[in-house]
Amino acid sequence: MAPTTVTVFTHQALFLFDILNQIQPFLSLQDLSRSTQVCRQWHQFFHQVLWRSVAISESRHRPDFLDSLVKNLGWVHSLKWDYTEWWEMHHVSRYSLPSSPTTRAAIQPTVMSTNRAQTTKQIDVLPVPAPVLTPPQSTYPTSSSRVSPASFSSSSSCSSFNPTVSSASPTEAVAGTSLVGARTRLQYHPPTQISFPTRQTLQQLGLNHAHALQDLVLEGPFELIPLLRALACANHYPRYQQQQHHHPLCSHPSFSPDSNGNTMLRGCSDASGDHNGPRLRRLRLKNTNCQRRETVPFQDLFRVSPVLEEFALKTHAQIIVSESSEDDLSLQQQQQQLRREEERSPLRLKKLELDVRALTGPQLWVILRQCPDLEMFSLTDYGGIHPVQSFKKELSSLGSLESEVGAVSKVQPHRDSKYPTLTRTRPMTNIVAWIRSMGGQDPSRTLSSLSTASYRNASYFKQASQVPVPKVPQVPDAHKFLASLPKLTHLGMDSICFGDVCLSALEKYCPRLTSLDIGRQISGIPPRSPTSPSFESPVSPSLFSTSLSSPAPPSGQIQSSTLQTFLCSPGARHLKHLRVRGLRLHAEDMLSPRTGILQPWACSPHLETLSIAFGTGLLSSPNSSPLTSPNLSADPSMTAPLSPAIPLLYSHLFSQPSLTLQESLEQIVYSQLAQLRQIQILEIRPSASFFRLRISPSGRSGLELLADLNKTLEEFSMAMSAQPQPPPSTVPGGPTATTAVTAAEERKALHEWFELYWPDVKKIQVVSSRERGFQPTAPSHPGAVGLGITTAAASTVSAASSASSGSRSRNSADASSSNSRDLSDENCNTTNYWSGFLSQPPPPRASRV
Amino acid sequence: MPVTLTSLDNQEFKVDKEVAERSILIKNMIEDVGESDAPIPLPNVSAAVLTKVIEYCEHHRNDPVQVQDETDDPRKRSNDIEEWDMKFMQVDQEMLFEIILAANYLDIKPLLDVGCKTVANIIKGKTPEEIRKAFNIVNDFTPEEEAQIKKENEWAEDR
Repeated sequence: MAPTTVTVFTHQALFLFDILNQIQPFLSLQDLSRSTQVCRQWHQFFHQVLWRSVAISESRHRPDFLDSLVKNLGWVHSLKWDYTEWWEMHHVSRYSLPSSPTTRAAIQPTVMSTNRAQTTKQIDVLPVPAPVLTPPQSTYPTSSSRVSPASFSSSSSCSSFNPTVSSASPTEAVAGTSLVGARTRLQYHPPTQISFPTRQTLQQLGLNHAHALQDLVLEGPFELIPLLRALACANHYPRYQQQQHHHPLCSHPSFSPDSNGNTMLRGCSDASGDHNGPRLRRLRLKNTNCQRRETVPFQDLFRVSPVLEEFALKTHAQIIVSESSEDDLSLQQQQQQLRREEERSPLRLKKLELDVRALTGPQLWVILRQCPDLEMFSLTDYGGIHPVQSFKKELSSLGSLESEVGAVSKVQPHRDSKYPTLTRTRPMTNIVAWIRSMGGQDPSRTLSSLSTASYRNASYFKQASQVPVPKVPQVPDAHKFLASLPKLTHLGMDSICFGDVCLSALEKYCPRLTSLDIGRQISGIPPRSPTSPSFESPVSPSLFSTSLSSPAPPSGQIQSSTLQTFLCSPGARHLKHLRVRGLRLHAEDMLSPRTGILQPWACSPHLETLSIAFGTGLLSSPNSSPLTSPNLSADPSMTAPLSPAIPLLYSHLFSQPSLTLQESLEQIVYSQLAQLRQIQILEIRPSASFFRLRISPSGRSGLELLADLNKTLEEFSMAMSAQPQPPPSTVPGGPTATTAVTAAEERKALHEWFELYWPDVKKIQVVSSRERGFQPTAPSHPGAVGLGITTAAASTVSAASSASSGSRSRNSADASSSNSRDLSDENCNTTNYWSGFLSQPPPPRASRV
Repeated sequence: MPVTLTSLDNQEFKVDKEVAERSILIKNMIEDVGESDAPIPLPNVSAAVLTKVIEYCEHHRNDPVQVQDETDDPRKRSNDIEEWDMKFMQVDQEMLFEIILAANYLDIKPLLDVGCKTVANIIKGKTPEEIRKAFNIVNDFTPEEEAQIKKENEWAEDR
């Protein structure tokens, strides 16, 4: 019998790129790598897929990987290169300073001295090209045990950075540096050239050839300007780049460039659409170059890619305006610039995160003006304060710059621009002419005035007061914008807060904003103590109208009234997610200063996530007794002269005589929160004020007002400060409880209330704190329970008897397990109100699902 | 209402409209043409393959429509195949690729995914030589080229 002959053939589908493109998502990197070695046609396809997304990892890549990356950078769509693995591989974890003044005071000298000692060794802070091999941050606590910075020893950390020396795997290249902990001894490995991006490695990489790059994440001690310009080069001249880039093995006919010079695979569609155009859409840069402070031209920030949609930047580089003066431009150039001005379109940014210490208010204003499509915005506010005069001056300088920013973003208006009229009729079209009319102004003087550091010393303010004030740009909205900004008196000069500029600009120019995250960063200046001569008045400046000059808020933070104004404005009506850190929204600011009526937030119907701290400016010091009497003249804490607006507010606050002032203010906050009909996550952040979680005996001012939030609420967390409790009200008709309520009773009442009214809420977390030191602006940090609180006790109001709600998890103690413990009597507030509540039935619920 | 499909070899198949509309191509054609008794020609699909495709669509007639999240990392996609689908795909390689081509042509994403997962499972864990053998692919690299590629993509090998 003849043997059966099996006809073997190769199916054509194996060489169709459409089919291979469908198969490749199910293959691992290893399989893709092996597929590239099968045959030429497979190599042509799988090679570019393999290099499409690269996350540089110290454990995966050898140092000579960079050479391969350089060759294949043209294929890379997504590149991520940061410290992520560095910390883990070297048993180093990031360090965050505790915000407690006492703790910080105890730690800072050590940190500072260590910083000074290590300055010459740190790769972050050393001017390239001679970085040396020690960790990039100033302190190195280990994951297993905290290692004191002082115990960090480096025996061979001064070897120069040499790629050839470090060609071995970092896991094999053991240098003799060790971290000596209290109980453990950890081996420290110096960074290789792929540990994190440096100026040198990025220079080798040649990002100006990364014409396919759509997503870039970099975190390291690189320099910003060369990087931004390389990216701009890649995105503004992509066709040239594509013609330059040919892989030696990619010479197959199906891979040859088309008539436009594109090297797209036949049969493969490109998600980015426009093959010739710029592609960089997402850019996240965290520049940790600490010592060598760069001076970055402002327009470089926006020259990167005209299609940029997401941009996150963290740097301490100095941002300046262009060094070229309008006077230097020839007439023809000016005409061209004017033409570009008329044709420019706004930036396409939809998501913007800025943590730039040196960013000034006018610069932020220019940025936000250019972002009409902005949907998500995150800002770290370092509390900068501008004298009004310098603000006007800088604004005038930036007016001309704005045209450059717009011009480089795209010459022709976008076809799909949602703001066709905006691109044509934007204001400041005559700004160049206006700048010229400003002739005689010394450009170098203008530049020097833009140093944000100069804003921080008194001599600058004195100098600024002597500088002739330039005209406000002849632009209607700029004039109005300046006029609308709240002013404050700082060092004797009318000044403007950075945060106020942010909120005002968002309100006016970013109508699509859905997510806002503002955090105020303490800029190394310890908070003022109550005994400090500059301690703020017990009367809140926010009680005054924002148009009036008022005492400076602490560290130039966003004023509570500005935030309230923003939240009430149409600009905030689309907000779905709001997170404010380092700022208390004062309850009294939620009232109209004219009518005394609660002003609901414009975003109330849509807000889904809210994280904010509430407080009051009426009681700046927790050590002062809370007000309990409507009689202001009898109030000993009212030492400052009263604004005419205050009696109006007080008349509202005390319109219900049965409530104390404290209750009235809490009623305002709870009433505001009760209007959030779509709220899913509600986090009330720590505050040094007296705002509490409680159920009021009257049923009109406490937690009971939030009963209806159960329809949508999924998570609730609240940090209460254990402030001295008010004495029983002496107001006729007020609560007359005389029996103190124990913490257990209070907790039980809360349990019962949550069981009854919020049975579907998945997570309820209440953190009670007892502050031993006063922190007027105690910051908080996500995930760090008790940060800013000397002693914290996290209590999950756990429903031990929650058999009926088995699916929900009322326990968030895992998030704070190390720092928290159950609410105990010593940490629990004991109020006189509870006896009244416990003797009454729960308040009726309006509606219940 | 039944729909008549005509294969490459002029064989006619009557299937429920609901079943036929698992194919986006056919669904769009029906929407464009409107209600009609006229057979729908499928000149790129043979009768044998169309039989298999219809079998698949019959079995999955009530499945929800897939919505693909483009933002997901494709490398995280699961290679798991349902038991029935795995049995369905137990065919020779020629039929397997014909089904993949037909699914691609008819725009039946779930069937295309199952076919591609099956091929990916064949590739998985194999050396280049084993892959060549599995699919009868000729190695047209020179040894130098092969070594160069291997070195260049070495980083992708799991360690």
